[in-house]
Amino acid sequence: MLKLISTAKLFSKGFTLWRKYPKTDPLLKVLHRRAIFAIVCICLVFIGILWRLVSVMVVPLYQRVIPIYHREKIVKKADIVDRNGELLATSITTSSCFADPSAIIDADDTIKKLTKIHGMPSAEKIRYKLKDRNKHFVWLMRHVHPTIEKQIMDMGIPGIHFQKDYKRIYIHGNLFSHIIGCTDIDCNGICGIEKHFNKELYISDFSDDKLTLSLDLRLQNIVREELKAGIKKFHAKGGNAILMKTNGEILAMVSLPDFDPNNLKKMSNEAMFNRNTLGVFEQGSIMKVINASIALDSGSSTVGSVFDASAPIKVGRFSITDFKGKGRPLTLAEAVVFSSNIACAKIAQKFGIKVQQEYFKKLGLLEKLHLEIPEIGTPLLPKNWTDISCMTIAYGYGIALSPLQVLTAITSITNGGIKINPRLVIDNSLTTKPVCVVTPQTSKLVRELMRGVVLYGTARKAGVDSIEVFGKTGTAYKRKGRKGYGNASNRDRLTTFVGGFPLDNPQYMLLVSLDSPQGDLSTYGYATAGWNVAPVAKEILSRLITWIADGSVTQNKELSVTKYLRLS
Amino acid sequence: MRQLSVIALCVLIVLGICVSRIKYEVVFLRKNLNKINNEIIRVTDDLRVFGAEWSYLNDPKRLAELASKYLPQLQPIVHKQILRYDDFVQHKYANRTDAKRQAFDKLLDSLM
Repeated sequence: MLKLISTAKLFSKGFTLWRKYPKTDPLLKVLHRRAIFAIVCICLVFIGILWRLVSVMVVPLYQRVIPIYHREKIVKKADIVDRNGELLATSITTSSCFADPSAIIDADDTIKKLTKIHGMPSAEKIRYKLKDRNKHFVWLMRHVHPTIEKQIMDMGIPGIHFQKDYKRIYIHGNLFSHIIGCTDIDCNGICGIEKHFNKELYISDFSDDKLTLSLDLRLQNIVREELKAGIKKFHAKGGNAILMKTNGEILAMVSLPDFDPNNLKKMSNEAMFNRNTLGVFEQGSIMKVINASIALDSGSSTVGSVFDASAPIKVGRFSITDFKGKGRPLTLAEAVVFSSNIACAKIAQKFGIKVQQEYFKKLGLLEKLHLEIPEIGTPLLPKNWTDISCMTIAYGYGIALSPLQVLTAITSITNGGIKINPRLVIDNSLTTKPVCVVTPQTSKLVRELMRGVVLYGTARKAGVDSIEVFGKTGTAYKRKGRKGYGNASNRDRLTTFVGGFPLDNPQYMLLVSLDSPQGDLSTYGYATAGWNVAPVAKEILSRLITWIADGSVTQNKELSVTKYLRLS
Repeated sequence: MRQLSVIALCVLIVLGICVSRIKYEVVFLRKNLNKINNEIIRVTDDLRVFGAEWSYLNDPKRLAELASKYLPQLQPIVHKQILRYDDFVQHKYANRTDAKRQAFDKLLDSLM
């Protein structure tokens, strides 16, 4: 201590002398240099201590963590549930294996060890991945099974690591394939709801948000089972069905063939095709419902208006004929119930192109439908909307629409005349001003006409005892490009049933369609809608009623349109 | 002046110690928070897996297979079993014997 004080005194004395005689005394010069050196050293030590203190006390902990690997950011996706909260799609935690090529010591040994693991890429592929030794991150294997993860970890290979990952799984496999869609390995949506809500579905690790769909798991299963059975029974190429509430909420939507979104490798283009929304077809006689509603609502005809359907209509080299025609004048009611092409063409001729286009526009049939999936087909409209187009459109040819679009239009007519927008997501915040497309009176008449079809017409096989079902069948020949519709021996048909229940206050609408069904002994060789798709619709309706019947069982009231029908 | 310097130095030392203590407490709390957060994530992920398993077990196809295997005497309700109340009273109920009617009335009363 004394030494220190004496040294300090010496410095003090020296400093005083140095100030007085800075450049004269050589001893002072040396002292001056040494003093400066000591001061600099002490300052450096103090600066070091200060820096350390600041870094420990002020700089937050997380800023001091230096990332070791450039890991890929894997984000969690929200669950998708049905209207009852049943889980349809979820993300589960998995582990994925990656390599840090810069940290691998012996590449050959690493490859040799890794190739022994089941499911690992081939030696060539691993070698290719590890080629660039400047890289810090390269995926080796995604979603590794825990036992394999343990095997690799036990090997303790330098530069081989695991990171937490998420895998999207679809619990019910094929059941919702076309609606929910699927994702790629990084959970990015590639089709269906997954693609439409791709960004919205990304959530934080702590979030428990869910996307609630309007679908019902139980009803979807019923519809799919019965449609599948119908396709098998009638040897059809495929089929589709939609069950919708009359407010636009889709309860079930099935398109067959379908695919398993959990196994994308086995997915074919045909299976990917969503017939309900992406497919646009000439819909055939179900368009007669729209035609009749236009005639009734525009006031051009009444239910009792008579149209001569005794002879085919000749238009150029074509002629409009009836399938099993009555060969007599028919009322508008009969034209719908007995599905007369000739009478319907004449009904359309009476109200004209302008009125037809106006109503088609109101019903949203001239533009692409809006739905929460990207696979939406654009309707194919006539290039020149001529008188002939107007007549053929009346019975479902010359315009190609998606089944969902037609169902939406017919639902808008039968639900009291309020235009609906189909939707797959329950959103109570949506409050749009109701738009009337037809009057409630027209709506009621159209429902009664459709009930007449089920009681006396082509949809008799779709009738269910315990409930007043109304509906309409349609058989359309499929157009084969420039070859037209083929001849009698090679014609392919698209058979459709569209209907709903209950009659007085419709709550549910159903559309079922079969692609190229074949006639057999049970159908006496017929392959028209009334023989194949109507029984399928009946099976679906019979099973649905037990789930959703709410006191709306049949009352078998007398129809006001019956007096316009000559049933003999 | 010297006294003021000494006091200032003391205050500085005390404040330094306080800041240091708070800093370490925050570090400790942050560690705990991270631990709890990781636990929440783990539990949430586990719940998701359980939810998926539960949903898989409740798959309608699987339930139908199990029902046909273990409950062969029970069949799903068919649409013919649904009747309007008036129809029931007029046709089915009217044909029943007195004893059965009484039993049914009793059942209805208990349900009302």
